Amino acid sequence: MRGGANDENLILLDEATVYSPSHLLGFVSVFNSNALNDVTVYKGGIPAYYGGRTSSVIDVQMNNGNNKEFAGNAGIGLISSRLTLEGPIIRDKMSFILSGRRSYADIILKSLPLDLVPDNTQLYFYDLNAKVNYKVNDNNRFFLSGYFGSDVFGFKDILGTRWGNRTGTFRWNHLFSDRLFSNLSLIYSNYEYGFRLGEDAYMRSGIVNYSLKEDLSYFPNPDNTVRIGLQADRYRFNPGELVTGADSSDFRIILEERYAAELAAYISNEQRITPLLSAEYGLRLSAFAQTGPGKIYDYDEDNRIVDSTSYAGGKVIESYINPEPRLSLNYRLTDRISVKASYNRMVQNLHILSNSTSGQVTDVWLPSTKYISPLIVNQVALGYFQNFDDNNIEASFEAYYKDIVNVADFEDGTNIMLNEKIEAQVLTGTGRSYGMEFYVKKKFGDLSGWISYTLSRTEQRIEGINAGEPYPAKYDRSHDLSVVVNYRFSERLSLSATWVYYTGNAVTFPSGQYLIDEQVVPYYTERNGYRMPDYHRLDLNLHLDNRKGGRFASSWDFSLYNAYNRYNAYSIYFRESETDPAAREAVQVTLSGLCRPLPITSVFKAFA
Amino acid sequence: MKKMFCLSLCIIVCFTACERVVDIDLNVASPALVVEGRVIKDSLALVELRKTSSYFRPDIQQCVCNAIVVIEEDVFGPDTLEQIAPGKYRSAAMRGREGSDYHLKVFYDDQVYESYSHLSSEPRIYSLTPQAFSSFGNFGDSSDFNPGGGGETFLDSLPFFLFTNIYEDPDTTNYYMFRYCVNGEMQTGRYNVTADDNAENDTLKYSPGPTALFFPGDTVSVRAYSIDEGLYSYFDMLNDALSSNSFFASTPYNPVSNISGGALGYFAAMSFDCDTIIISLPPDIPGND
Repeated sequence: MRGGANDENLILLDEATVYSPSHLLGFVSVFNSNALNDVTVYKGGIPAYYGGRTSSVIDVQMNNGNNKEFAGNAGIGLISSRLTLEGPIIRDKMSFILSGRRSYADIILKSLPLDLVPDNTQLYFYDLNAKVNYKVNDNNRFFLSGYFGSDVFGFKDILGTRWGNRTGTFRWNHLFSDRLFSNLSLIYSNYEYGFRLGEDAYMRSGIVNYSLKEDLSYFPNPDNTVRIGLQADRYRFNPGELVTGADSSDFRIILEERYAAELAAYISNEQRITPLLSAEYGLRLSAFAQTGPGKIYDYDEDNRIVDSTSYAGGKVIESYINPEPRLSLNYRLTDRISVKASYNRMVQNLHILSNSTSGQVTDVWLPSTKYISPLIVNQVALGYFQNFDDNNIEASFEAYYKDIVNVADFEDGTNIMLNEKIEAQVLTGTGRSYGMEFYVKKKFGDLSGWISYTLSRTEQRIEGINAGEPYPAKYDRSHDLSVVVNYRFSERLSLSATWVYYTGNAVTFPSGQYLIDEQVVPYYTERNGYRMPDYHRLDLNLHLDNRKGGRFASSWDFSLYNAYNRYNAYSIYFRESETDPAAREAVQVTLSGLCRPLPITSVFKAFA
Repeated sequence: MKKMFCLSLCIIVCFTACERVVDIDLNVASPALVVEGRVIKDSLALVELRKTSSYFRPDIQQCVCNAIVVIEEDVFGPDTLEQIAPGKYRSAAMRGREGSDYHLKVFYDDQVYESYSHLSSEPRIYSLTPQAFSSFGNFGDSSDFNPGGGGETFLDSLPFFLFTNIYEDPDTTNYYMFRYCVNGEMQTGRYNVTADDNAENDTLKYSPGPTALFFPGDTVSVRAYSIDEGLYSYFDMLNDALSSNSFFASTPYNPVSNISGGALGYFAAMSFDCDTIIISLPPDIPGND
């Protein structure tokens, strides 16, 4: 978002960080809409009580559950099915919600009489959201929520891969007085991926994060809302381990676990300065430390290990302290027109190490270290907002500029997998991102929907890469367009269409070739000098509400994913031509299921 | 085994992906000089010069015919190579000698390209020992695994790793490259290089793992080359360039040549030892009825 990489978006589910937000390599969100209550997105003017990522914040709140009566809904689809149950445990005091999904592509494929897959194929995802809340009295309330999700691909007992998130949040809301509110949270988050070969051989990597957070909201008068808080995080990183047998004598590569701690303090105020001018301003101070236990290597200029230092548990190896000022202004020109301006400085101490060809599944998280400095982004943004037609139509225009410090990329030839010396191969430099965003939304009427368009550019300059010349970040997108249209034919029947288009990611392709030992070796002239093909896709959905019967309501959804059969590229590789062995050809890989129209039918039942 | 896991994930990704040939408009870079020079022990020094060309037409190679190629050796002195075919230059008398340093100079287009390489002592292969793939893990009911359909199961085509055991001098840092010729056909696509880090008791036991698997009945000839550090580094990077389609490949890049002046390719002084084995199925392997 706004020129940031995937790891620069802070994605929270009940305050717990979700490190990988999608199932099926991006096909399905990990967030189950049936279990959600509210989603807030910040791209600029990010308040001081958020930190740790430099690009955006997506704050998702789970539903608390119905505390009045028992209710539920279920959906049966071709891809996956879902079930949600909620209700009071103690009426008006304690309630729960339980919501789960499971896909079953493997079951369907195996049941077809086409011998498409072996019988031991596993190909599915599942997730479960659970939450309980207990209102002790008017001043105290407890929440306990969790998310468990996983993707599984493979052949049982032979080989396979699995990855997923687990989160847990315990919250205590306490009202000291009408003017002072406290939210104390204890948070757990875990992301892990692994490959399995046979029964004893496996490889895995991941990150575990424990967090304690105290947030105080103070309302001194109607014009000010002050928030003060402290957040302490503990991280454990598993950069990778490969084990091939149950015995210690078997072949194994186990990269040393890394540890880090972060302490952040913040204060912010949301103030109405005049009836027309309001502001939100604050300061966050983050202190990050890579800690022991651990062995830190020293490298020579050729990245050879020349020395090492061992650190005891809890001992600080490297630390960084960074202030993060935030300011957001909103001036109302008329009842329908306002302008907004913001500045924020964001600091990020967790980094995904990802190469340009692999998917997100295999990404490795690492902390800021002696060799990897914190990523720092200064962003200014200016926006114009206007409503039309009695607020039926919202329109906005925003422009932003980001100055990026310590943007990281790999030097040539870095292999991210089980690489003990990977941090020595990370190079850092500067970058910038700028762009314009247009947005129009029609909220009411039989015809509704929205259009958003972003024109942007993100580039970086790192000594030692691309001969020190600026080059596009791989996630740079010149154009990004979304069009969503809903048309209501009647009270029961509606049709929606979603079309997305964006410029392909920047990639490194060869600009020539040469022979070595009669083998074709690609010749590269610049980093990220080419583009993947543009991505676009149309999804359609026909929604039909059935007639209500007593306490039950139900509906049908007929969906068509990728309606006009666009083959969007997951990756592109080059090979000897199959029709002319003397020539080479480019081959585009498209994930199965995304390369042909995919009908998704589901029936939804709700009862209350 | 690290590569085995890469391979496994590739299988899974391929299983869930579809492919199609597409038109990609690639630039044609300004031609750069490519040098492929070899001084093999007891063989005449040979240097090939070409230029880079359009990516999609590797069959159209542009040879460099008007260069002057000189190789200098401590004892032999400088020797100007003769062009014996377009772009192919060979010494009339200079043969590779153990322990010698070789200095290559290519004079072309008002520029001088230079490189050095040391011809290390000839390695000595003790033995070749095949090891069945199943020795590396418990594969449960893998005997039923039959992803491609048909009559064969997983164990019918049980592959073998092949370990090459060579003498390793513990007093020096050595680098090696292994090449495999299977049933008379030289295996290409990967340069199996290693340093001597894992040597024990004066012996280095090397297998490239799943990137070179062999099957019962295969006649395998192994060549173990002794190379210098610069070549080890070059061939290691060349592997990346040749496997840049892999799921776990690093960001694509040009292997750093051991030749100055911006030329691509390499200049190698090498010696090698060779041994041959026929892979056979041991009686204790399941499936060997």
